Amino acid sequence: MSTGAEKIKELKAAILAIDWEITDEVMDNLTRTIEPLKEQWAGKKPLLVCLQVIGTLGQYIKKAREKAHPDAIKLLPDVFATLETVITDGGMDDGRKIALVRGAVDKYNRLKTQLAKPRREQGRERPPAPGAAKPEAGAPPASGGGGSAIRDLLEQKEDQAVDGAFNAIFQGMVGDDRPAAQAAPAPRAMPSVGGVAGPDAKEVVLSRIDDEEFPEADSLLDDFFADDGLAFSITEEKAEEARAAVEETVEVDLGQIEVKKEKKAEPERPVERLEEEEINVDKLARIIQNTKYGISTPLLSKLAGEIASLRRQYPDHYSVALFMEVIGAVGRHLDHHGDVAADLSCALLQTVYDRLAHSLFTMQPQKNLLASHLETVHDYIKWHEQVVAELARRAARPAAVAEGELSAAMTTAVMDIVRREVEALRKELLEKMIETGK
Amino acid sequence: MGFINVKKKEVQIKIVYYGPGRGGKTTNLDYINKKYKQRIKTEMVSIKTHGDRTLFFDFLPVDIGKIHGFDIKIQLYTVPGQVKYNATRKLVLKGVDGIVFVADLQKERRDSNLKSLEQMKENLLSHNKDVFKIPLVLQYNKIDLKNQGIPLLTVEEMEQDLNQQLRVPYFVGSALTGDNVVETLKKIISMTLISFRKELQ
Amino acid sequence: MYNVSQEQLETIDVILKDDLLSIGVHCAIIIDVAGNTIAQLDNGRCSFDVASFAALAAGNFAAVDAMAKLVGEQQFSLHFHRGENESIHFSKVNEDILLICIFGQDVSLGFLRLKTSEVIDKIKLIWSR
Repeated sequence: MSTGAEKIKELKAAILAIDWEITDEVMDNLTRTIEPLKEQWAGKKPLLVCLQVIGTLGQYIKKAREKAHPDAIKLLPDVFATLETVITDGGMDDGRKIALVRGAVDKYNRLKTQLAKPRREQGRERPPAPGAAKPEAGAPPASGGGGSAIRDLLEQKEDQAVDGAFNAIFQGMVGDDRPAAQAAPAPRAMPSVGGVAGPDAKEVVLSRIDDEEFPEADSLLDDFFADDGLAFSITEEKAEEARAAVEETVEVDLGQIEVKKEKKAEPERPVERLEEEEINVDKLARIIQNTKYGISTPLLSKLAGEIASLRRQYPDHYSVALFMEVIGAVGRHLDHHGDVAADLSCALLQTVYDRLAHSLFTMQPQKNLLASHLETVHDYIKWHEQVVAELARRAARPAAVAEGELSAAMTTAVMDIVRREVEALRKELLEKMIETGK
Repeated sequence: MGFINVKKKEVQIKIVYYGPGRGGKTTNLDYINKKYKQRIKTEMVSIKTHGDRTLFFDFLPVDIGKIHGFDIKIQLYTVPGQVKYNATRKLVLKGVDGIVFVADLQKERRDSNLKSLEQMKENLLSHNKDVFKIPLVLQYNKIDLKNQGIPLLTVEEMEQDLNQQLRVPYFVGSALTGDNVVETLKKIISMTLISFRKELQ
Repeated sequence: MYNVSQEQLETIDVILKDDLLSIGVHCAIIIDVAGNTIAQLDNGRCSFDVASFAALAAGNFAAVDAMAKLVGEQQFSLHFHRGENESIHFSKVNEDILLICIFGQDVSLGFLRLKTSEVIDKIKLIWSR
């Protein structure tokens, strides 16, 4: 077996080479190393079957190249490992050897079935894991009643058994995908370096522009790089003030809306009002976005400050008032109990902000605005329930009182909104009816 | 080269801290990393020598937020300052969008500031970039040494040496104490964003 | 400053998925030589910091490329690191962009090299459009 051992080593080297690089040369080398072994093992069917499978897989891979089925690539070293075990393990009885070979052939047959399917289905339906085939492979080999594939392989002339059916299948398959398969290109070198027009064309030469400003960028930078500790000590007073203002003014603000509304001679449609006023919520957006980076007292102070400022700017805008109320309530909750339902709260902040932005900039029909308000309230109530439940679970804090107060403020705000909007809708409807009546 | 990913709506921008060895480039990034750790969230990557000197680069990604719906992802790099590492410096400058040149205020480092800036110009040129066009900010670092009686160059001298032709914004600061570190960074990001503002509209 | 159209990015994603993830590649990333991530696709089980990875990968590739030129090679045709569980394969798509594949023991490097060269051809076509 001394020369045999050499030849096996050569085969092993050829298989390992394929693991590194698949070129025609490497694949031809595989075929070359198989030939002498075939002669040497004449008559030893299990060994010949393994060689046959290796040879066929090799030819298939050479032809199919990158279109090859990944399992074919994996099967090649697998079959070789089986072959190696069968020849080198002197203590193994023939039955075991045949069982091993049969296991390898089973895998090969499954691959064949895969390749016979239209290419689209191949990916979805992979051959079962090798483990699944074990019971069959481990069945008593002497019975001879196993799958017909193995019997065919072990009894027929190996050339026809493997090559015939398989070649027909993969040639068809490769032919479909690669019309020029026969003239397979020489092993491709790495892509050449030559000038590629594409990317250059896309590149814009950056130029320093000294006299230009980019306010959005600057304000973003100011926000991100805000020195929390310092900013807080400087603006602490202001923020505290703002926060106090927000906490106190829930009813007051709504009351102000009442008063001003009454002063106006004609009830004004809120949608028209939205168009008149350019409401800037960019800063609010950034603050809310920053809550994603982590919640801190200074950030929440900023939030409270911004809410107070928006309320001051639009004292009689009841849509803004509602959204501010909800965002403010969530912010205050985070400030008091930052560890309770934090993720949920941050998510709600974002949702409510999105709705606010949407209602300010895109919504026209009155009924959508109402829907948006009601959804916001609904979300708020759900959030509130969860927060109260969570706080109750912790039980350590006398939370229910504070949260209850928030809820009362919300109720007022919601009732007010609904009343106003229903009223507005009713008027609109009435006008329309009068118009059509005329 | 900044990269705009229209699919993910994000912009990636590469800012490089350049300057002579031991000038405080890594210290700049360290300060930013420590100060904004909570917001930055990702780890700073450093490839260092055993002597704790930068071997290849430091890397700190910072997501600052959105402009016109685009996520702005700033990627801060430093180059290795030691003279022998010029090949690596050149590599790090590949695709740079904005540069902070960190110069050393110490009198004895005057020469290395000049040499480093000269070499930066050449390195940029090898990437077809013009030092007069790329967004650039100078930082005159180590002002904290003033109190220790170490002879420092004056700002006028620094300007004379480095900024006479360039005429770019400069900051006198201390990477160690954080003095003007954030201002420098804000300025360079702002300048870089302005330089391709049109792309973001 | 450059950008790639949404359509191009989507096509690239499809290619990475069909040609690389389908054969068992864990993660495929397209980066530019500056270290920006252009596209990234994984099997859902990769959790490393892609931005840092891209910066290091670009630096690494650039360093090896520079070494190649020092010894008189135009470039090295194989740029590959094999680990116990994960291996990394780098390839150059064109002067500006790189393709990086992270894959396990179950993918043969030889086959991956065939696949990546196919993917590179496809991406070049898209890129030059």
